[in-house]
Amino acid sequence: MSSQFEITEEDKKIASFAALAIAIHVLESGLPSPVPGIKPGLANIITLLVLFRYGWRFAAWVSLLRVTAGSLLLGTFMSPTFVLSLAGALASLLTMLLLWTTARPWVGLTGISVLASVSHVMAQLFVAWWLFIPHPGILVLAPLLVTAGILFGIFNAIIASSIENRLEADPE
Amino acid sequence: MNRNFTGSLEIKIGDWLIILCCLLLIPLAWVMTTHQPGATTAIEITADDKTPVIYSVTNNHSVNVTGELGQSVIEIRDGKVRFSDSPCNSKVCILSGWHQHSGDHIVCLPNKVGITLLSQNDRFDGINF
Repeated sequence: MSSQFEITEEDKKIASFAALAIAIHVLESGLPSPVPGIKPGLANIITLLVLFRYGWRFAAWVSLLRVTAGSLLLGTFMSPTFVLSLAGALASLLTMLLLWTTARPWVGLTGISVLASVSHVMAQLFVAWWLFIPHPGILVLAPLLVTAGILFGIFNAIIASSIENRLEADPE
Repeated sequence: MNRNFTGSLEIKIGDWLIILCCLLLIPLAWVMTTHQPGATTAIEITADDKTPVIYSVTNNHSVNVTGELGQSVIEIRDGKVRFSDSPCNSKVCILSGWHQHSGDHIVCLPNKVGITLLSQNDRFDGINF
């Protein structure tokens, strides 16, 4: 039986990383949050690792698959939550792409993680303001969200680098 | 096997620069979104997605607005504003008390009534970046 589409090794890798990210995404959605919009974004650790090991195309696939499949699993597909999630993912992917292609010699995991995380929250805030809550009051959340973005950006970079260390030391 | 957790977390010059810029963004965002100098001279009431109506706060009076659940009463006295009655269950809007700083917002989510405190020096309706 021959399949019309060729499934490459790369596809399998993308799928398995995306599966890992989806699992984290779904688990994380069960964590309570003090303020709507503030969460660690642990699934982005996978995106970061994939970016550093396989490049940004790989990372884009994993991130977008996570948002789509994650929302299907959580039942939020095409809802405002999904739109916000997608906007955040696209913004942080764009940031990663820019940093990765232009500033690689000067920027490491930490910088990419922090800037991706901050652009994620800013994009979400903008989309929320633009589409769902067109009231200037929502922008008051900006300083809070940026603070959380920086903290979790650093936090995720630390986790990602420790995973990276272990992968380096013990590839399987 | 290297068990060091953060040992090889390489922080380059660009990383510091990014963290610094993002940290600077916090006060900037703070100032741009909340700091509006000047005393409150008017309030803007938005009820149930209808066109906002602006009221003066120079004289003491009460405003009745109809939201999704019913009538909210907004009391204006000595340049300060509060919800004095509301048909909602939680009464969070009433319990939040008097407000007087321009740029502040008072909302009653259940009844879909929002109040924005305005001042003459408001240069922006909202800021985005």
